[in-house]
Amino acid sequence: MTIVDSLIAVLAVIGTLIVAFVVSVWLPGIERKLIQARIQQRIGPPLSSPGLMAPIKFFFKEIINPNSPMPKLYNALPLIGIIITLFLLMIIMPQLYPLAAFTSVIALVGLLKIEEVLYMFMGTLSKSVLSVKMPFPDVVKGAKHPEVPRSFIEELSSMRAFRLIAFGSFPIYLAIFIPVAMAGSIFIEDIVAYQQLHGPVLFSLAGILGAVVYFFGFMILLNEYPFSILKTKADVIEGPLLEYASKYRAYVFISRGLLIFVLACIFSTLFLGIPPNILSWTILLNIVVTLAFTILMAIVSAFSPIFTFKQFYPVVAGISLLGVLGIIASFL
Amino acid sequence: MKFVVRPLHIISVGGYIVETDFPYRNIIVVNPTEEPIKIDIPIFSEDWIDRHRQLGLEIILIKEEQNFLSSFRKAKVKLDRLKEELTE
Amino acid sequence: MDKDKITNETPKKQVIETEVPMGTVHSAAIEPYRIRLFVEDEIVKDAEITVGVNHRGVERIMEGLPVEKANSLTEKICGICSNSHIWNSVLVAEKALGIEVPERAQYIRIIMEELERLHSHMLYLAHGNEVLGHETFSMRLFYIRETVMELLRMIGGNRVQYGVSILGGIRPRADLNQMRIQKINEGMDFVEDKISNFAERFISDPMIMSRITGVGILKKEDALRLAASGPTLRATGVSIDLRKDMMEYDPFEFDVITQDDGDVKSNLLVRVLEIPEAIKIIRQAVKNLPEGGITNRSWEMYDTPITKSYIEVPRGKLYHSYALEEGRVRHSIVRTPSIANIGAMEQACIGCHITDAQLAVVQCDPCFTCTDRAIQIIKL
Repeated sequence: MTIVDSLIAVLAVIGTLIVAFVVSVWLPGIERKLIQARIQQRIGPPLSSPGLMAPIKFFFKEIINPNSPMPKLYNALPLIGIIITLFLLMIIMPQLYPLAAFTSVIALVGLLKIEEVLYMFMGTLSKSVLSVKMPFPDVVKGAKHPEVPRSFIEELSSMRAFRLIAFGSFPIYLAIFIPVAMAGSIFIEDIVAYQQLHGPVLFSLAGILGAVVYFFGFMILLNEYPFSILKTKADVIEGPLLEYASKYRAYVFISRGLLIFVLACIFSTLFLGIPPNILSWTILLNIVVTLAFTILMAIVSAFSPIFTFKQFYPVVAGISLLGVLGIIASFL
Repeated sequence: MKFVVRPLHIISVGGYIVETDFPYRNIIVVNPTEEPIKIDIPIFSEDWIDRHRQLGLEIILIKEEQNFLSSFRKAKVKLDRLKEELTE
Repeated sequence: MDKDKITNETPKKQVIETEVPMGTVHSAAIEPYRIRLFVEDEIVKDAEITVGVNHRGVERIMEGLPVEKANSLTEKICGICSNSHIWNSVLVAEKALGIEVPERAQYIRIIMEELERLHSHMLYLAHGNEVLGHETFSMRLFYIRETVMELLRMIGGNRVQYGVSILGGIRPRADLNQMRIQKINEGMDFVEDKISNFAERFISDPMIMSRITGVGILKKEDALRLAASGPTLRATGVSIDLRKDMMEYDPFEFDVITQDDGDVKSNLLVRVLEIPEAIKIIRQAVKNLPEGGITNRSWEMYDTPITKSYIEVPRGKLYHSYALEEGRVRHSIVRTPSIANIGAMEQACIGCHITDAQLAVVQCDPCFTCTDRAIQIIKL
């Protein structure tokens, strides 16, 4: 690989990252304006507001110290989230396939797991005023159970993040392993090559099952209704994200749009054999798949209440079963 | 359910009495202490009175024929005098 | 209501893992209250709700006011059922002074009360869906409710606190002409059609039914013991509706809606099914609206002992009482249904998942603004 090739590869990676940013800032607006507002017969926010204007606004807000035992670490977590998401995008780009082990499904699963663990740390480090610290005479004479230890609502979300790590991520991992099983390799390069030879995984029974399972795993990972028990407005309000303000809240907004784009690109890489690559026109297909995922997610969210664990467990179990069937079908 | 009576404070809990089976029309509650105290509401039965006297509250019972306003003012004056003593 | 002795004792010693306090500012609670949930593995073992954050001392201000002023002040007690308060406050004086109210005025008062029941129940269903996380249904209900708000504004001049009832009848501005009657009928047709569509989709949605069935159960005995009333009591199977005992409602036919399970689903269904009943009453009142005057001014003011009045409002039994001295109000007391209903919800929270706890509290359609009127003079 000559220096010129390396230079082109680096520029291609940077170019694809830029495309990712440019596309991802419009996704929340599409979700909330074009889909949910239409469904709910209301005007909705301007298209650019949720994903672009809101982060810009937050960048100019005064930086305040979050209620947290380790404010610096707490504030750093969304930034780490963005970096993890960018790594996720890079390891599916063709330019990095020479890195072999790093561009494998194992690395993909590992990075996705970090993405989930971040929520646990956020929940543990956030101590907002909305629960225990509310200046209200709780434990006074005449109160019930004065001796019971008290927890913040964010600790509740941290516990839920732990449960989501344990079982909420089954669907997405099961779905990811269907292309692995069909290509017979954990390397993304081989999975893409397999599909260039045999056609997209999606156009097979296993692929279709995998796509359905992947979509639900995608929604669980994004904590989107109905799978948003981590940040249910009815009890934990915004859960781990409660204490983010100013530019750190901007990072939270950015990382969500970015994660939608990256997860959709992972799908088009593993199930359509189209990795994100600015040097090829297929980048447009990645964008189309992203839009499809965003629209589908917005529709499902608009028509469903939030699931408590009573609904969460059976639904995830059912979807995971579908995933297992997909893996079995991939061997047929 | 609870209602917080703030330190050195006076309230009347007329609207919190389930009056269908209760002998008093109104109850004036005075918290003469310097810490908030939670009272149980709604009020269903007479044993509420003793239980809340034990918490350190001053409970003034008002029958239907009694003058509520004068009892309230008397208790208020007494409480204000207590506050002055404590601030001296 | 036979009720054995109730003791507000702290329940037996329980092993509780932790307490999760929420409020007084919380996205699931549209009004300020504090709730401490004692949980074990996210299941609520006990709950303590604290109210009193929004008190304004309305009864204390009423003390000594001229009765007409005191009546209109009671309208400020609540922003959702303001008509109920002023109507009941006026009824106390009318009962005490033996004032005969013209029949036309009675009918228009009933129309206002039932329109208020419609918008209150729709607000409740919208808020319930909001807490469930189903924002589309919530927005849909607010959209349908606009029609009723517009009718209230047309008749009373305001979307809130319409000031219709006065001593001896209703305000002249609130009288109904042919144009208004036609608009009311059109509004009722629209609301009936849209609400039945919503009810069908709501009941047939498996996700929602799974979230609200068997959640926040209040047993019949507990509901009676804790003096719950209105739809919250009827959701447990007790068929008590004060409107059946109010002579103002004698000319109208309607059914008393009850459910049996006392859970969130039963509470939602009671109110969904009470909407067509309220529409039925409004249609009868508008169709048979008698001719004649709307205010009786031929009465005298004299001192009266404490007089009591109970009416059925959207949340249950509303109690107003005061005495009259030289045309001024003495020793007024207002007890709203929410005070007992919210207290009963502490019981309903037990056994719920913590995410369902706020839903269990909200299921009784709590109105904390109504509830928080204890006379407490504080300097913040």
